[in-house]
Amino acid sequence: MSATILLVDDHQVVRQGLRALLKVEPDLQVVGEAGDGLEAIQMVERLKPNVLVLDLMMPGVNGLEVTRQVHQRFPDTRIIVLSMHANEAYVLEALRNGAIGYVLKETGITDLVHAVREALAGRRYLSPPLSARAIDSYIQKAQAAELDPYETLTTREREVLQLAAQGLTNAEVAARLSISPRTAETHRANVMHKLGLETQIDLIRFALKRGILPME
Amino acid sequence: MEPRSTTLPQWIAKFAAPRTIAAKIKRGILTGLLALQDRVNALVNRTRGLPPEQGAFATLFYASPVAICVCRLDDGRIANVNDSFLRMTGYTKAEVSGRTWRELGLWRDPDDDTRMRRALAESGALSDIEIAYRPKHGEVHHALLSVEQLDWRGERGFLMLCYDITERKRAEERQRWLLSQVRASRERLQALSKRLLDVQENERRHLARELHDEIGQTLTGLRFVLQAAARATTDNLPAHLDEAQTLVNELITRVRNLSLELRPAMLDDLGLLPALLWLIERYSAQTQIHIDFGHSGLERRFPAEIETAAYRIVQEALTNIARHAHEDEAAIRLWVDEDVLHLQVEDWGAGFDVNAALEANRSSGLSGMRERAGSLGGRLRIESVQGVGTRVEGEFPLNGKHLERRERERNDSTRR
Repeated sequence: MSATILLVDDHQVVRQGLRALLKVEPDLQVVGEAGDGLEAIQMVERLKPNVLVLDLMMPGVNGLEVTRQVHQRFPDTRIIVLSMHANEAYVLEALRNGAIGYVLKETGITDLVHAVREALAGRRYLSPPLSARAIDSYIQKAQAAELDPYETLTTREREVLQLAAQGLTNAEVAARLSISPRTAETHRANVMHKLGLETQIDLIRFALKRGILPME
Repeated sequence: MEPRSTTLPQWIAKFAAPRTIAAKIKRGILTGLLALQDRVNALVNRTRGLPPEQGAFATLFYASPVAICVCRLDDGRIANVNDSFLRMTGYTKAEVSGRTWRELGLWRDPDDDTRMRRALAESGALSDIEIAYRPKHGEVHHALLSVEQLDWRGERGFLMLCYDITERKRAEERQRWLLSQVRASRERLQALSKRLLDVQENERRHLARELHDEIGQTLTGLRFVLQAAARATTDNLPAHLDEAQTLVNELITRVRNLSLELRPAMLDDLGLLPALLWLIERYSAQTQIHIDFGHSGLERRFPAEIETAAYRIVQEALTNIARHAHEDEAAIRLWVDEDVLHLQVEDWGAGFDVNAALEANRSSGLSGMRERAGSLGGRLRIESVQGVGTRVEGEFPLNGKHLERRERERNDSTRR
């Protein structure tokens, strides 16, 4: 028995091309075509295809969202995302949403056929040059880092910190920087808040540690 | 001209006539006096010739909302003042009696005193000149001063009438300031819309050129290859088709780059972080400028207009660095802190004069960045020191609250 495939792409010319190219594979049978995300979900529900070949970018409900919904509601349908984006962020998002294959439109049909067979066997497939390693390195790059709180101070706040650490009062800081005492007070409060400091001693300690105040 | 002398009752009668009020002092100031006009006229007639301390004029003199000060003509010493005058200057009656304005330091500009005396000598009167006076305590105030010569208990004197216009001056100044702000923002807006048109035109030119020169040329090439393939023998057909395929792939790449340059689909599909990572990677590859990118709290979607603004500001800042900084390293920081998205782009390159650049409106990029942030209730600061580097700091409120309002609220709560 041949495997059933549903093709989804908002461009008819692309669907035609895909259908023609898959026709020559005797064990693969295209059982339907859909032109947008909503139609795709309805047809998956009706046809329960083995494989869903899905364009990533479609108006309305896009491929990423279709992937998520289909994967949740019909986990038996394997999803292969077709995309023009050779970008790890897209691949990662597609895989996270439940796709098993990610095929670049430009790499051609043999790649898609290969991906469909891998998907039927329950194996993940990514078009070259995409790779699990590239995705890992992307994940690492995208990792949030603990930011140095000092770096998150604005230039003004850094100036206030330096003057405050030298023991200047808000009024003196204000006079030195030609700002209002109230503004100086706000900046100082922001500095304390951002650096997680509570007392003037904390502030001086921080300034010494960071070399903002020269140790004498 | 012979100096005229007027008695106080005459003076007040004249002063209280509606025509004169309208001419001399803004409507509303002496509403009370106006209401009393008829009574005053009657009283003037009845009490003509009585000393000013007596009768209804005394009441009028002391109760007048206008500060009144009577001085002797020869030496300018104060003979009498009303309560309004004391309120206005902050002195007690004892402190001012027998002193001159100069001695009390009331004139801010002693020239005004000279001017007044000259006017008294020439015409016996002076009306509505603007003076600045210094009360006992506090800042300099502004007043309208009218002076008239009069007889005071048989002595020749003059009467000074001051109406404080400090508040009005302040309001006027504020209005002038607001007006200048409005004018400035209108000019900015005009410059911006002109810039917008220029930018749009440049963008179109770039697109047109790109479509014609790059994509058009490649398509023409493809047509030649396919024409050759049509005439080719079976043997060299595959070679022609290979060539055609290469050109098609090239076309796909070009079209995709063009579309990404206009607006990266990633920004809409995946959000700010993936779009920035892509931008930075591409930028570093193109410019050889290394970017140290640190972020926290970005693994989420922000309102679309904030994602766009933040992306464009980073993009613009990076473009500026590539153009002007002459530096191969820069840092980008983005973080979320209490419903505010912060961004920082910093380089240690050549730097430039921010004010001059904004002033000249030469940099559409700078003002564009600022407008973008401002239109979302956020802020953008650009600081640059020549030879030290440039720092772009942006903040965007995520809860729709204008940043300044948010700060006010925070201040108020810490004060409590």
